[in-house]
Amino acid sequence: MQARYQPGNALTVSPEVLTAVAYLEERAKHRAKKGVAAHSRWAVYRALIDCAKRHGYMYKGRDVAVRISVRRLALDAGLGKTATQDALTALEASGLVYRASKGNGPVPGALALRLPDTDVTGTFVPPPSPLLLYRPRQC
Amino acid sequence: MLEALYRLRHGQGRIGKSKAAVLEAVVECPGASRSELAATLGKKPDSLSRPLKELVERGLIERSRKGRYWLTNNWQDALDRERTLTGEKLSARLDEQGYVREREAYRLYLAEKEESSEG
Repeated sequence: MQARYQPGNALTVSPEVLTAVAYLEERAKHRAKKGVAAHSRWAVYRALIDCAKRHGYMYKGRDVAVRISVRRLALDAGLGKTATQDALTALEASGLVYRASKGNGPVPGALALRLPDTDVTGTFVPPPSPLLLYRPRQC
Repeated sequence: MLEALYRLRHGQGRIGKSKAAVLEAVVECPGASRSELAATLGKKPDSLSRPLKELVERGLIERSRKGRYWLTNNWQDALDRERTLTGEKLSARLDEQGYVREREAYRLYLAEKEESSEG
């Protein structure tokens, strides 16, 4: 049977990816990790960084993207699927991570780790005021 | 080993992620005092007294007379035992099995969809 893909070395990660990941890891260590679910966010972020070290690639010239399923991410981060989704939503809201591409059939989508510069101030800390779950009644 | 620490799951009776962070700080700076650990973690020293006490009770770290924290000789075995006894390994395995089933079901669904579109 003929192989579907050309043989290659999937473990090769470019040096610029490794440099970017090392920078991200160093920056992330100093971010605050207090409050509800902050450690879950940190676990998801760290799982993404570990994944990027193994098979990350440059995206849009400066960010690092990884192709990983939410299920795999959940296992790597030691969380359930829902908690992982919530953590990803929070990380996206804080500007640390964004979705680079959607999944297609059995192929998972890609998540990109944004290289923080001036426009990212995200932490792993939840917002100071609780989210508005219901709209207050108008008088 | 650090990877195993941040994979520790939340749950009743489990070590959890916040205590795992404290344990990780002890792994990275063995022999640190409570205030040094607090400075590393960006927390107040008082907020670490309970997690440190629990980690000592679980046999993962030990406290010297000078108030410094060290890893026990068999902390990795103790951690493994904790993960087994608190059902962490089981829940991770169940999750993994569930995901395999979900993937298989989705693969079948895609195959059926493809067949129906062809036929």
